Amino acid sequence: MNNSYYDWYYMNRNNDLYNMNNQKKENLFNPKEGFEKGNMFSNLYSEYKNYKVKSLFPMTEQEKKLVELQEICFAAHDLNLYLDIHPEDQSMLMLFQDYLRREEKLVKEYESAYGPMTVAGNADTKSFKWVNSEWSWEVKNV
Amino acid sequence: MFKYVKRLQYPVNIKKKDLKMAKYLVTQYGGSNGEMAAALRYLNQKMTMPDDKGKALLNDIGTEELGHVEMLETMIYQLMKDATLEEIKEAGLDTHYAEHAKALYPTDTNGVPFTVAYFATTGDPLADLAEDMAAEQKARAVYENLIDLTDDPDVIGPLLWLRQREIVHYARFKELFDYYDSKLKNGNNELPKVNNISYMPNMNDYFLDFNNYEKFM
Repeated sequence: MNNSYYDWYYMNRNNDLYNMNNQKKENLFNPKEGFEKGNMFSNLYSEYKNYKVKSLFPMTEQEKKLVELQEICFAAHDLNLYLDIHPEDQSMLMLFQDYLRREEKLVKEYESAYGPMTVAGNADTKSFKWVNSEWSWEVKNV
Repeated sequence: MFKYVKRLQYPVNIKKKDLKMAKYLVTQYGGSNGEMAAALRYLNQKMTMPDDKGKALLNDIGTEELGHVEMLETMIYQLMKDATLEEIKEAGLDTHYAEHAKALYPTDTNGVPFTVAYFATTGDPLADLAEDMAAEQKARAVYENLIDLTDDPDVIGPLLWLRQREIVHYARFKELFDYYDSKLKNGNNELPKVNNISYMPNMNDYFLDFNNYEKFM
């Protein structure tokens, strides 16, 4: 029943194997938690008053996949900013590269189901789907 | 160059119109501490950062800020799109409507149009980074004021998230600032200064030689 990478990722995204046995990475949230908080680095995280972060409830299959994709892209991006000024950190680089590989797979799966995310996503499509796949600013249920 | 990706960095899905909130939020779009000022500030300053770390960080945070501009645009659009003319008048957005209807236009909360006077580029990495750190702190403070002004969870969610990004960016800028500062304090006083002519022996060297800057680092 788990026949796609999405399903595998969705089920495993809370047990972040990558955070174990590494002192530096103990400071990191997993991609789902980091994305909800807007911060992958627990040592930098700071709450405002007693506000709690918004839990996201994607309803449709498409929304679910979009949120998963946003999570992993965010995780990679926040590590990217860290690596900009700590390019020598090999273990962080390896985690970053792992996120990038996951992102690549998720983008491919999303595009094949729901249309291109970038205009380059039209490389193999029969028609120019870019113009009628959903735009970023339209309201969804999330 | 840039490529557009058809998704927001974080979801914005506001179901309830709120014109007052749209009027307040616009300041983080086109106001002095807003995301547009941030994006342009960093994407201009990146050119004269003294080493690869500085160029990379300013480039990548500046790029993220463009994504935040789109999030703010989306929030304002969604808050306004179902409004009636009566509601627009009542919220004091009639002056906006006169020139822009329901289109977006970057101003601050009082309708003052966006201007590049909101930011500086001095060519001095410490001065520029100190401005960037202040900008992130001011934006964080404004996001907190905006959170105080609403009780819609669909609005609070993205605002909390954007506030958190200011905290991360501040921390990264400060790390870079401290790194350059410690280089200077350790007798390495060749941290490039555009106007420092002491190590420029002849007239040709008065022209900016960006390749040479890197040698001094």
